[in-house]
Amino acid sequence: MRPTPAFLLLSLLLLAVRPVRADEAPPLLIAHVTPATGRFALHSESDRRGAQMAVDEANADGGVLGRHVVMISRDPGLDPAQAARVARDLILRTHVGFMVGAISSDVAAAMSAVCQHYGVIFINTNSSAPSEAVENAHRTKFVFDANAANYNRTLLKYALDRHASKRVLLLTEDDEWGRSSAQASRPIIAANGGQVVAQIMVPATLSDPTALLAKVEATPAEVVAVNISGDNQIRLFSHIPPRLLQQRSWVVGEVDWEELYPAPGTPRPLFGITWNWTFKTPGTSAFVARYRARYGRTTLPYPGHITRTAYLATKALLEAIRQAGTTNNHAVIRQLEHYKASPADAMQDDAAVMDPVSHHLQQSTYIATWHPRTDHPELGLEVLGHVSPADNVYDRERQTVLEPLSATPQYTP
Amino acid sequence: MNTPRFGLITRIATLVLLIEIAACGLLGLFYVERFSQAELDRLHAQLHLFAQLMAQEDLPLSAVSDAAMLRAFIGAPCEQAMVIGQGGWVIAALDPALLGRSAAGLPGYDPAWAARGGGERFLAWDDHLTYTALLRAGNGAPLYTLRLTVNSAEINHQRLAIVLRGLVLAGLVILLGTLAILLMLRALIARRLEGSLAVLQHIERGDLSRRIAVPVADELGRLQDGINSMTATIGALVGQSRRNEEEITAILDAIADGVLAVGTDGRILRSNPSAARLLGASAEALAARDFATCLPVLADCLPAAWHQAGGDSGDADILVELPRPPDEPRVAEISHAPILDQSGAVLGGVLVLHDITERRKSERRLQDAVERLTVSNTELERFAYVASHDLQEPLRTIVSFTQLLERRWGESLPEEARDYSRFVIDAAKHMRLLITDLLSYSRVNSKSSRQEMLPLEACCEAALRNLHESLQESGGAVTLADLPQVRGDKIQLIQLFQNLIGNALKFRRPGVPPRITVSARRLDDAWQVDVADNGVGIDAEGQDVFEIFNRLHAKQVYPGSGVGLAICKRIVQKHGGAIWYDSQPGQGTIFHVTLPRSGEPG
Repeated sequence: MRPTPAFLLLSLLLLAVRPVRADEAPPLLIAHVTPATGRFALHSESDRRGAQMAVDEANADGGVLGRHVVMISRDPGLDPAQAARVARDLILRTHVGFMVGAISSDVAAAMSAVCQHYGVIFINTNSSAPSEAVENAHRTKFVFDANAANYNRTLLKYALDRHASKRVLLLTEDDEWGRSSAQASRPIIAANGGQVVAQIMVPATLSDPTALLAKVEATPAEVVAVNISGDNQIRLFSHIPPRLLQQRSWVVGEVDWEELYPAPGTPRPLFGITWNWTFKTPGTSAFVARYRARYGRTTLPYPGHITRTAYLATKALLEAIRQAGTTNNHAVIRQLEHYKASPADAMQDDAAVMDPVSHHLQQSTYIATWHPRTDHPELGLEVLGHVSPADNVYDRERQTVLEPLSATPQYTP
Repeated sequence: MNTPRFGLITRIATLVLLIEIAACGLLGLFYVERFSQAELDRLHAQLHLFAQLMAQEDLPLSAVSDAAMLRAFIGAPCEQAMVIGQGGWVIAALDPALLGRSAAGLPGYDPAWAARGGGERFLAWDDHLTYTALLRAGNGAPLYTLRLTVNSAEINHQRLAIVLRGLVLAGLVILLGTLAILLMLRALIARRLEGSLAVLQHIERGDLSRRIAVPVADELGRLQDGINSMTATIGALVGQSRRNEEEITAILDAIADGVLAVGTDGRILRSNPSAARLLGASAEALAARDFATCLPVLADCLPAAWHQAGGDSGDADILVELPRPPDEPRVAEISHAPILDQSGAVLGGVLVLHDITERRKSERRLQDAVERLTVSNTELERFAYVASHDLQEPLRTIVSFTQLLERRWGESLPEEARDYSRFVIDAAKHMRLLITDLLSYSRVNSKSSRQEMLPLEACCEAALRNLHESLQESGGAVTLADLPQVRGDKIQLIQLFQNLIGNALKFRRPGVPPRITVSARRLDDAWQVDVADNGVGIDAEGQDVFEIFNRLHAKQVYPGSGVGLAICKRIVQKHGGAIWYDSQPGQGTIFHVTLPRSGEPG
């Protein structure tokens, strides 16, 4: 019997609409790119865990668009040029669909530029240089962490209000994040009546902070605005003499859990965070429980806000793909530009909203201090205040100019 | 004795070197084996630790993409490193080209292995090691599969280099060690041995006064000390031997007998001047001759006798007439004995030549004199016997006719004539007594005796019966103790006891009844019989009471002929015994008589 044209058409339709099983469809490759070694190694692992949790949850739900999500890990290093080569290699050879991670703002800037070139969406999970959402912002990049400008807006005001004389010394890490954060701090200082009396550039790899502290002591200033991250930050605060710590108001733009937990005996007078596992915010306890079920026996038994942000960002990406119904970059970008996380999703007191102009997630920030406790480091953090997203917007992000979507290459992994 | 090509030290050093090389080789093989296994174990442990850290997620997955870190961690370069997710996709890799690829297509990866539960796999081939581990979360749930391929060539090269370096170093150490041993041996042993040998050469040449210097009292020092002690002992022995030789030579030179030392081959080993003199040759000539030439009559018998004697000395009854021209022949009495070593083997013999030529002459002369004296004595005894026997008849005639003259014409004769007549009769009677005793005395030797075992007690009792009247007259008493049996002539032994007891009765003290005791005691080879009395005793004043006709008292006081004790002495001598006396004048006398015990029943 010869098949009729109608039968053939029906067969093709059935074949087209046949559900594709996750184990049959090609996997959806997401590259997690963070420096695996160096001063951000711990941050990178925290970031990977958060992203992995989101991926695992998506795969547990059957994948995304019927495809198994495979998150591959690639170390881009800390050299922007190398990171750019890695990004290009991931796109052209590995054919990844998306990239998440970075941690280092220099790396994030370099890789996201390559991604923009090829139209690959880059989710900046925890690179918090203000420039990420201004000068280095791209249509294909979405920044999920609060930046130093967001924190310093409140922190510097808090510190300067306590001194009649408002001389400020900037300790600036000589990288994109440090420079960008310091740059963002200056108008805030000025707006609060302060005066930057000096800026000391700190090498990206700070081996011995003794000379640096001598300079600090020699510089007459009431407030020291510290924009130093990672192991450099730990090393600096572990060397500050108590007398010098008391004489100055030390403002640390952002302190990650990964910078507190490994050295619980070092002080952090005043700093900003977006989340802590001790928060009573919606969704936190469930997230912490899921984290500890898998990583509770590891070196980082509790999640920090890096893990939380990576989880939030990766989950947002996968949700955007799912909502777009396609992996096409334009469709996903459009979904992400309208991304809004409920307080339960963001695990904060306020909802978090993606700024479609800067592609920077506007979210709550918290002012905190650290009480050095070596016996129970998880109890060392004290939240001093909460700042709503609307109150910590970085003004310059309003002038961010992204590449037009039309100028962004189509990319459908 | 073989002389080796190399010295002792060189041979020791060579031996040490060979032992060290063998030991080094064995240790090297052992070390290579252990090192290889230890390297594999270490590598396995590092890989296992890497997997553990990754399973605990204390190590980021992207750690596998860091070649430098992998190398630092594992200790060897990784050719391939990857983490395979649960879907079988490579999610982290050293080679970025593998990222996102399905591991199922990778050579050597067995998805079924992970499905079966996985675990750890360690596979080594050529210069490669592949380690595969299924990583599990703390709750046991599978996380990833870790797969690392390590290039072990570098390890192998390092191992080879280490082994080679070790061998070279060991070789150097061995060479230096051997050289050091050589030098130490030379300093500690060889030099001291050479010094010792030099001294020993002097000692060997006879200079026993030399001694080895002993700087250190170690084993060699003790050996050197022992050699010194031995040399001192040998020196003392040699000195003593020389002195002994000199003494022996002096003795041999001094003795009149000839001494010859003869080897089993007949060669004369040694002789003294007397031997040379006896054998009529100089000492030098004697030394060049052999035994058979000197004493041909003994050449065959003596060596055989030495071998048979078993060390006993030979009898001295070998008489040899020594040829000593041009003098008259001389006779030597030869005694001999074998010379034995410590094992008893015969080395030769020693002959002592005693010249008995003169002695034999003297003996011959003495024999002649004895013979002549015997003849003379025999004739004298015969004369005495005959004379005494023949003299009795005229005496009886004189006495008879004198007594007849007195009986017939006694009354008519003047008183003086009658006195003369009594004098003649008394003199004749005394003469007859003398002749009778003399006859008895001579009969002891002239008359053949009959030897038999006799109880002395019976002899004494016979003698006492003969003396019955004297005993009665004197009121004496005789006590006989236990007396033995002896071999002898019965008549003579009765005569012996009769004379001794008769004397005791005769020479009694006035007014003191004689008490006589006859006793006996056993000597080694004889009986001693004692006849003791309580008489007047004997005061001989140098006179021999046993000499015939010798008298100590006037015959008017104690009548007698003076022959009795002479007869006793002759009887005792005839029986092979002896007689003597002990006396205290005025107290008494003990006559001692010994008689041989020969012939006694056992």
